[in-house]
Amino acid sequence: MVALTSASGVIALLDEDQVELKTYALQKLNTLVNDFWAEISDSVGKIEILYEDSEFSERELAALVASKVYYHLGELDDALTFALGAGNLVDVSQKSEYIETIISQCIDKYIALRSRAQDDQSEDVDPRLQSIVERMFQRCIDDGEYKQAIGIALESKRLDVVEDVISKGNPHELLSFVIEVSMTLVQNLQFRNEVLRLLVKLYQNLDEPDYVSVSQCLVHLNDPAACSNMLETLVAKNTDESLLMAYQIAFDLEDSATQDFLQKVIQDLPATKKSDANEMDTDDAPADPNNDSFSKIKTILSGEETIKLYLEFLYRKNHTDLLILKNTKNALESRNSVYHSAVTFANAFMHAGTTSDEFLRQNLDWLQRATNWSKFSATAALGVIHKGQLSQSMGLLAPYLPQEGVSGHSSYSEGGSLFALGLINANHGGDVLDYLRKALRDTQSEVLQHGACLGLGVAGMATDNEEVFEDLKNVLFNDNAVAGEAAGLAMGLVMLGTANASAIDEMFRYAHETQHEKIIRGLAIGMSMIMYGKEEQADTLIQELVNDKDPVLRYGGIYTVAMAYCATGNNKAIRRLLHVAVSDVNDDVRRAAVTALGFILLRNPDQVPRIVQLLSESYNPHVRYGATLALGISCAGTGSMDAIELLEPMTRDPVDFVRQGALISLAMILIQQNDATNSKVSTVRKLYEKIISDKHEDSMAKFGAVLSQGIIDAGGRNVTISLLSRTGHTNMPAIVGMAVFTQFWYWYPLTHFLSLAFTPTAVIGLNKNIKIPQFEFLSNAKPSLYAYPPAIKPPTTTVVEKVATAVLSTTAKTKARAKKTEKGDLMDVDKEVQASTSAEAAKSDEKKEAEEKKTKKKKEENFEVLENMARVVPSQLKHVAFKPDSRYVPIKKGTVGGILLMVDKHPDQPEELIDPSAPTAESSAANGAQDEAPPFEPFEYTFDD
Amino acid sequence: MSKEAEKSENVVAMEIEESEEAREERLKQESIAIAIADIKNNFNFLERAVETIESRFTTRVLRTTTSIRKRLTPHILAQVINDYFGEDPRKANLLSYLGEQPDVSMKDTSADDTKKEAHLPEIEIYLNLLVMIYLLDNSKFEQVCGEFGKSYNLGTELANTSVDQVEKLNRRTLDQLTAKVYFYYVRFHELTDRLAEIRPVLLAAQRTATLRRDDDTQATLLNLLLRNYFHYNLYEQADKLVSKSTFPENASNNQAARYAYYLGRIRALQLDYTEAHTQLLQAIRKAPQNTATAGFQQTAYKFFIIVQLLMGEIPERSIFRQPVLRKALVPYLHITQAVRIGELNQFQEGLAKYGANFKRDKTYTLILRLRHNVIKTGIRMISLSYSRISLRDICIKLHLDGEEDAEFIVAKSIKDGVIDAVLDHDGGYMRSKESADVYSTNEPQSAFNQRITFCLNLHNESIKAMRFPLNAHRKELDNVQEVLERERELAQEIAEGDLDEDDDMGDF
Repeated sequence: MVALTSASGVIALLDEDQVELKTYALQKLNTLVNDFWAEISDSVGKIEILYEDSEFSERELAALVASKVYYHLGELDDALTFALGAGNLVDVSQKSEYIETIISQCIDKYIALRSRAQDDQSEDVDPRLQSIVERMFQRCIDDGEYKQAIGIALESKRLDVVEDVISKGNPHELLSFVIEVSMTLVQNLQFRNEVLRLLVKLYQNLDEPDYVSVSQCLVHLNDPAACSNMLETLVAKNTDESLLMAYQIAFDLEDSATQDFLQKVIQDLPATKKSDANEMDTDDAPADPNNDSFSKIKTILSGEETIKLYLEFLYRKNHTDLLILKNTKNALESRNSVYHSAVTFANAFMHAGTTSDEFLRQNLDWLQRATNWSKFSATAALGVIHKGQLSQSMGLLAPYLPQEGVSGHSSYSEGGSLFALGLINANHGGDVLDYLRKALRDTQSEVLQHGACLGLGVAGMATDNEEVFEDLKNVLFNDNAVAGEAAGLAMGLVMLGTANASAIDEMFRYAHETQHEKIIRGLAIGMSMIMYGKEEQADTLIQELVNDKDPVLRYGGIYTVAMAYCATGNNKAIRRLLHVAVSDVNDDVRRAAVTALGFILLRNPDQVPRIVQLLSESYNPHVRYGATLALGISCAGTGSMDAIELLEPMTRDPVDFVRQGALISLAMILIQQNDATNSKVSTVRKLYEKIISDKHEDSMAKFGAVLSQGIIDAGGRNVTISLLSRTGHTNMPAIVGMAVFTQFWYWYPLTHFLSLAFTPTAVIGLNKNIKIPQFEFLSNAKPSLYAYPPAIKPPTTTVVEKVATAVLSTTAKTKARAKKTEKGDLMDVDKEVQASTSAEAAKSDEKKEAEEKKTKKKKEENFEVLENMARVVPSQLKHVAFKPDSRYVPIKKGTVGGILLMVDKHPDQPEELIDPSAPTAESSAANGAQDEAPPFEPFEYTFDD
Repeated sequence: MSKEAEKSENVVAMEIEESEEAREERLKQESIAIAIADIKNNFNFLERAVETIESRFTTRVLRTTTSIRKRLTPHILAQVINDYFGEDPRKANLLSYLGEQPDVSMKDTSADDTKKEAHLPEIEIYLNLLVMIYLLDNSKFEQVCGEFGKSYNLGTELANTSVDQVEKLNRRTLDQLTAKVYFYYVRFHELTDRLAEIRPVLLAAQRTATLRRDDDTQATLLNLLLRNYFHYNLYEQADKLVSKSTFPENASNNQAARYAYYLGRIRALQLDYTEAHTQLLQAIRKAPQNTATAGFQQTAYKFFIIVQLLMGEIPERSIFRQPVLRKALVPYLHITQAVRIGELNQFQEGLAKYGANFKRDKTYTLILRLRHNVIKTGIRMISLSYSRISLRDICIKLHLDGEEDAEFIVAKSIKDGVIDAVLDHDGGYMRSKESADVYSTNEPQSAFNQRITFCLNLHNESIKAMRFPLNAHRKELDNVQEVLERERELAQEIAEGDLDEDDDMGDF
């Protein structure tokens, strides 16, 4: 063997005529090929001829030798072809490098063939190839490598294999694996739906069906009928547990599904007899227990419960720092409408959903300085602040809404109030839709129309409501720039995610007809909304829009890419965007393309800094601006250091609007972060202050800084920006809100849309009566890690004496007292409530500071006991634990957050409930006698034009 | 007074002596400490390389090998191994190669090594590598002492186990170390003359490396295989291997130089002198230009000179004067001189005198081909010097056997275009034509072109070889921003100054 230095002798035998000699040569070559492949490769042609010779007996051997030669030559495709020809001589179970390479090649080829077959149904897969792959599957199953097999089966679109493997392995673990993989990695929408269908089937066949996962799958499949069926069966079981599960699913559905979907589920559920009556007097004759639970499910599905709970949470835990706003307001010239709007927005965001209009009360004169569109924004801001007070929206806004026959108010505040009405009822239209439609029809004023359109769009989001659409279309056809823009946008919002072809067609046609750039833009964004989440289905429209010669439509095309492929990480979409980002002639389109990257890569925020790094250094400021927003959108709420590192230098960019973008994005990233979780927070907050107080800073950057202050402390510091729901699904209202928010570049009032992206970060436990019991749970992390940022910021620049008061804990009380009196002067309402809350706040402040002192002295405890309705930021969720001996445990397993249904282990014991204290319809109705005036409407400001 | 002075001098001298001894001791200790620190520092780099998956750190580690190699002693190695492995059983195994007792130093280290738990295979392989290098160097020393072979055997054994180890691990961070392990593996086998046995191993490893796209190992193994074939004069096999495999583009420079050298040799044997010339030239250029690689340079130059002569060119005299090369190239200088003046006698003389050398260098067959060149050069010289010369005179000048012989040779030269002349058979003489002006032809142009392409290639390659550190431009950006900031501040100050004045005015 060692003596052999050449294979030429053996190769020569191949030229012999005798079959025996040839066979001998092949056998010999088969052993020699590893050492002399280079030599043999010259005569591989001869071996191939032997393989093709049908009379030759050892054809398979010839194929094997040829395959090995090609393998050594690196021609893996040919190697595979011949290996397939070699039939059983290729022993798949062997553990050699050759076999492994051939098998991996085999699988690649198989996957490629299968996916092509999926597309045109033409190509048949070589049965030999198939058999090798089948053998691989078998081997994986035998070895217990289920995940491997599932991965390959999913890629090669073999659902039968997926099913088979799941049934053989541990179904619970594998099913969740499949669901995760299919959501993140399967790019083809159609196939993903097939996988989900299979999953639903499998989940339901389990001994212990996983209803939560099934409901999530059904949401993706858009199958409301199956959902309502499931709810019915759960209710029909009529055990506590199944009821709780049904409620929990209802909450989850409400969290992730569209309005349209929920409506259909509600309709499909068995009708409840006089549901209203039932609700009113539940303790009266429990005729049918199912009836009661169905009506409860319906209220949950309608979103009322969720909204009520979150409202309660935001109201209770409001930690807004008014001093920040005050300082900002004082530092800026209020006569400048840009600054005025900026402070309006900041205030709206900070108090989003908290119902606290304290700042407005304290600054009535400032508020009165709003003119024209800034008045529109200011009135609309009320909608953001009172977001979620569904039942009282009309009452709240009554002073500003247009009244029939009376034209007492300026049209700007009336228009703004219509928009505010929409914002309060965002994504939960219901009755206000009719009111708004009427308002829209009754007016000819473009400002009112504008407000009504926006309101209809926000409230009627994704309702697929043809009537509303028609009304909006009529406004659009008036060809009025201001109203038309809003109408176009609203049309898209109403038809959100429906891919309604006729709607698209009409909008597209009108976009070509009209002369108004504003209308075209509204329509373009609207069209992108219609294609929300449609992936490949949107490709034709995208193609059409992106190739249009009108840059505004191309801009819309880019947004269509962003919406259709949002959170998919689709490579094709990314490639298209990157191409446009560097090649389009129009700055707006390029900016949009870079921004859109943020939407596409929602699920992989770590990738974004790397991708936009070069773009963030572009010579073109618009591209840089886009890069800032892309970072902000994708990394929102994550506190990603990579993103911050990129953004920080951009806050010193020579171009003002790039600075603006960087500041806003920093706020989005650092929302709900404190010094313990992210070291940059305090520097960034200081930066905002500095920019605002800097006399020579450009107004654009100042606007950004003020807005950022609002965002970073949004919702009383109790909300985060999360475009993905807790279960990892796309949060549609949030994404849409964010997309429309980015249009504030052209139109400031659209800034309010960001409030749709705010998600309260709470853990709220409920018992089987949808009431909030009192209980405690643990957060296994240092309390300081997830604490609120230090509550009071000393005014460094303006007032000096307050510095002293701010530091001392004992002065908190006096301060609270001072506040009380201050308030007392300003308003003549129910002091008790306010006083008690402020006293409570003071107390809690005191407690907290005492705690802080303690922690400074002693070692900080590494866990924290939280009460029901606690603020739990997303990164904290994994530390949340329920004590094993506690009375209530969540019905859902794993890491949980949001609204949870709790199993009561001791149902016989009396429950302590937390009484809702937020202003709600029921409470005001119940306490109507005591309440002289509703607390949220104690003032009224008049705008004098 | 003088006595005292003497005394004190003595004292001082003694002190100095003592302190010198101490200092030597201290220096020794220090150098040992530094060596250990260096090796440990390399561990850190390897850890970082694994963490960041950045091959740069491994490259940096391997670059220090030369400096560490000089300082390696069993003691240093033993200490490092002891420190790293702690209680691990593999430690004893590795130490046994060094002939060190593990238990001696165990006591000192056992206290503080409990914290290290996870061992990176990279560091383990690196330690193996260091021990191998030590054994290789030690074997040279042993050769001098006369006890031959012990280290070889130990080294071969260790190399075998290391190769087994790296074959099993499929880690991209290990690539460069793998290449080195194979290199020493082959080296040990070569020294013990067992190259043929390991050829299948190398071929298999080469395949593996290609499949894993492990460029470093691939390049190293390709060269090792070529060397292996060359060792047994299997040039045809080598040629087949070269033609059927691709040399990875981003292999390290050293491997690329080696590859070019082997390729040059193959081409030279295949009579493709131009290609051989370019390859050898590239090998010489790519090889590091320091004394550490003198051996490679000498060998490459030997072939380079022969190939140049075979192409009909005369190598530069300066090549032979380089200090690194002078001694080694003496035989080749002799041959070159013979070819230059076309003196067949001198050529034969040189061949006889240095024949053994040439055979050892494996250049003998190539040099034999030069005989024709000597004659051709002779004829060219004659044709330049004489406008007409009889064949008989040619015979005498070139020491040829007969007039007929001379006529044939001249005819061949004319046909090959070596000389521009006519033969007069009847008259028995050769008449040279007027030599044309070379500058009127395209010759200079093509020569320039050749040089320009070479320069451009060199430029391109050097640019490609450069590393651009990530985010290096950030610093510049920061500077720009600082300047901007300062400008803005200045503007602000000016503006503020104005405003202040305005304010003052307002007050008044």
